[in-house]
Amino acid sequence: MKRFFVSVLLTLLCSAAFGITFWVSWEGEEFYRDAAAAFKEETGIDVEIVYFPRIEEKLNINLKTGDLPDAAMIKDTYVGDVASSGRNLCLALSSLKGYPQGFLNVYKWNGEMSAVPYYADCQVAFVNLNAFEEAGIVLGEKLDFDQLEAIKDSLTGIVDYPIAFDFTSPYVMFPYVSALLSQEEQYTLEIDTSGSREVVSRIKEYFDEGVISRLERAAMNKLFTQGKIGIMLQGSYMASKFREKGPDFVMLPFPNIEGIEVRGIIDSKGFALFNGDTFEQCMSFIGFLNEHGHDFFVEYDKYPLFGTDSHQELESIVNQGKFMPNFPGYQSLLFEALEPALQAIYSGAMTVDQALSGAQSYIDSIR
Amino acid sequence: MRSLILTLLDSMSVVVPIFFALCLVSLLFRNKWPMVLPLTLLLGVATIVPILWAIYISFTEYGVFQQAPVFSGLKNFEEVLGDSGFKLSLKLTALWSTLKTSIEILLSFLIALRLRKATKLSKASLILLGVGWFIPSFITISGWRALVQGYGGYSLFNIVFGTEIDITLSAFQAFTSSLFVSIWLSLPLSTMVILGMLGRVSKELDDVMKIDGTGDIYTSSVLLGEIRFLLIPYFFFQLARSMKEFTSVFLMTGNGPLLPEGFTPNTLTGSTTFLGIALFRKFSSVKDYGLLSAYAVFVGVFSLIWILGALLSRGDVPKRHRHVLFLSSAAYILLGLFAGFNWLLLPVIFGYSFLPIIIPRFKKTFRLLVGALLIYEVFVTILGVVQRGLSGLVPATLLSVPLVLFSLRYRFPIIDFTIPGWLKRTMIVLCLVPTVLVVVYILVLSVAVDSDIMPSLSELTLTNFRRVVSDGLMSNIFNTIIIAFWASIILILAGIPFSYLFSQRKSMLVKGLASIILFSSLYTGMHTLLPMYFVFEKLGLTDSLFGIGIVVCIQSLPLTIILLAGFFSSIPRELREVSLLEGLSETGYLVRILIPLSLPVIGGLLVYVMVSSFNSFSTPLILLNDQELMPFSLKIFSYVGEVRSYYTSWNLFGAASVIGVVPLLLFFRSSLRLIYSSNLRDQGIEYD
Repeated sequence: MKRFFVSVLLTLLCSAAFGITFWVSWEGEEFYRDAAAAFKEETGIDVEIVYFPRIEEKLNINLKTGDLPDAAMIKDTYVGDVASSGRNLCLALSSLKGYPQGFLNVYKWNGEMSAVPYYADCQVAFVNLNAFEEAGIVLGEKLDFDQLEAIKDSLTGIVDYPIAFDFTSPYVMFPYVSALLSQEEQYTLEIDTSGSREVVSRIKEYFDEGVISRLERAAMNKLFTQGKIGIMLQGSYMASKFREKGPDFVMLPFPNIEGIEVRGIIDSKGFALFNGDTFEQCMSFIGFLNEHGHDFFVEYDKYPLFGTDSHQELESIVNQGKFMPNFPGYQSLLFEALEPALQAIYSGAMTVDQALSGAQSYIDSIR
Repeated sequence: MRSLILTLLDSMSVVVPIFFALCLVSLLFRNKWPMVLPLTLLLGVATIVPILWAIYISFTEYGVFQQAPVFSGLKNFEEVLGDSGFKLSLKLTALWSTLKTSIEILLSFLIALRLRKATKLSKASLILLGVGWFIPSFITISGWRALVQGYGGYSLFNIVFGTEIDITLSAFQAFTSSLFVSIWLSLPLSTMVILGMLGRVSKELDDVMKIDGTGDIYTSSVLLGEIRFLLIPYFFFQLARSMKEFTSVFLMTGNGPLLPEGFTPNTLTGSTTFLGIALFRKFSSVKDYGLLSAYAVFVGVFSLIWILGALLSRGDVPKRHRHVLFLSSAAYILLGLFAGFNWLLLPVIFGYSFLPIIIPRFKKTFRLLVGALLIYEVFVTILGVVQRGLSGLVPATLLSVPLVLFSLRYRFPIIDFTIPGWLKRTMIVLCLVPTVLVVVYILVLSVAVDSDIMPSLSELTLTNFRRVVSDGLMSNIFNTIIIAFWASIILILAGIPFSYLFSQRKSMLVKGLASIILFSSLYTGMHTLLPMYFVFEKLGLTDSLFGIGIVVCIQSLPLTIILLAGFFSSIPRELREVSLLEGLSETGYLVRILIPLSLPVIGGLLVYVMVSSFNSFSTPLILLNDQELMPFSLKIFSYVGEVRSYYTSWNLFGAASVIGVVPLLLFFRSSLRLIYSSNLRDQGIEYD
């Protein structure tokens, strides 16, 4: 044991001479900087944190040029791009002990572990508890669209928008479009199936009948903080903002659609590693982030992917959610095709069949 | 001071001493040709190699996840030719850019007429107009979007005006709102540029018109005539630039709702899927540098036709008429082959091709026949649109009509009258009102407690400013000022001498380099960033603020050349001959005579460079890896978060923008001395 500690200490001392660089993005820049400072104090390893907005735009170029940091934060949907470049380290599963298998699979590409899972956001239904209490509605563990009409009637007069989400947002609608798709259909981006058409048509009816209001996401956030919405569908990353200001709320999984099970998308981040010489130091820093990240995960409502129970509210939602396929370009192609189709359906410019069939032709021509 | 020196030294690469050595050489030689050397060096580094590489990869498949390009012959080009959505996008872009540029130039001209007297009120109005341009477009356009679109169509605008605008659902409304915002964003630059042009009008002319008691319309017409040789090329240049418009439209409406004919297999064309957006979408969905490069070749060629229009419109009659008619004819053929041929326009093609033959002998007949063809092509195009909607639009008509009209300059009777003063003042106020609204909005954002795009006025705080300053914003601003400094130095030492050479139109080398500069401004993009990175890395220009300065300057060169070369050519040749006889070298003539005379235009260009340095995002994102060198643009975007995730810290973004605008405003205020400098008028030089 003594020998092990000595060797770890030696590795750390050697690495202190050059330090490591982490590229990060999204929320928490301050947390990473504080953690790097604390890590240096504890281990002597200098960690340079470089924050990039739109990190994927940066990585698209740097994966080609090879001018890469020791580690970079990536989305799970970007794993295919990184791994296909051949620039990243393939990680041994033995170095990732303790991580739940389900989360490790998301960061695999062609059977190789391509990144270290870190945290996840997920799609949730935000429920305004104050409004529900006032209306005397008893809340179950998961909602279904067939309850919405009754909920809407009860909440009318209490809030301005009893139930709201953006029908034209591909991010929000994808779980519904894909609710009846097999896993293979999801992987091959088949969105023009009878199942998709059926679910989209049913949801459209709720909008046509005025049960659900269509609000854009930015507007929903504002109205929810003002307590003017009863239920809305959004990403869990907004929870911290609502906690700062807004009504009491609870996060539930995305509602099912008339008995059809719907699984919200889990949107996760991890670290891709690029330098074999600093592998130990990087893993050590990632471990440090995991150990000291409790406050960060709570503050920003992130679900940690390394097997702790830091965020119990999100745990059941994550367990009922699903990850998007991670092959290159999947998400951007899907969203690009789906958004105009949904806009056309909502505005009445096209029927559901026409729009989904058009979107499918586009996907097929690009694929 | 120490940190300034360290930062400057940090920017050093092998290119820096070579560049300055070449500048020195060009100063020491009496001959003018060494003036081309500094710019040639920078173009080689930042433009020529990347363009050659990009053209090469357009014949390959080269996905972002692919390790090496694989030769695919003409496959990419075939795909572009078969892409009916892209063709629709070309038509849409031609329509939009013609509308945008025409309104922009007209409004800017009117505003410039009103602000051309160097009074305190004029300067204050110009500064106010400029503020809208200085604030990062992400924040101003998001503000416009919030105002117009609000809660999915439930917006302040709709409430006040009783409208039902929803830019996510109505194709027409998306098109017009993106048009409005783009024009608004372009007004400050164009007004400043036109003010610079009006600086050449002699005071005597004003006095004569005053004595004659001319009305506003006649005065405008005379002043337009005085600056037309600068304004017309500028119009076509702006037209070409707007063919690749991206940021303002993308942030305002994205693709826009699908057009009825827009659900094509290769490209989904919405009402605002202009060429710049189509390229971006193509890359984000296909992620193939080869295909993107092939698409960019087409966009570059289309835009080049418009750029050629800008260049040819500078010529002298009758050469200009010939060139313009041939270009119009070629545009009909080329664009027709790509986007669909309208056989009814065949007489126009033949007419424009052969009529120039009769110019010397039958001038009147020539003008009449061209006029008749002009009316015919407008009629046929309108007929096409009425019958087939947007698909029936002929993009070449949108180039040909203004080009021929401006070249032949048919005289229409002017009904002269004077617009009441209150109406003119109202027009200026109306143009300034949107900017005032945006400024107030940004100020409110910057002191808002909540980070919402529609902030509450009930609680205000100054802590946002403290927070962004403690985040190191000042050092980011400092880095940006260094970038602007380098870009301005390069522009002065390399861009201005090159514009002088180009104004003389003698050398094939200069003409070739100018063509590269103009083409590159329309061809470069995401697909040329990769080769540029490789070249910069080899030369030590990555992680270098000088490297960013080179790119910013090169992006400003087309405007520099179009404006300065036009200006230099307008100065009588006798002045040069006298100067050389008096013992001045070519460089001496440029430095001691031409540059002081051109200060109004140079002032505008320096402001443009400064604003470009503050707005430059992709180049520093790609070329900088060192946190210490991060400029203002990357820092403020760290408050934006991911565009569609809506966790943007609007209040911090607002506070950072307010602080970032201060150096721009100070610079702009001091540059007003240049823009309003009266060298030309005081010296009373006659030009025509």
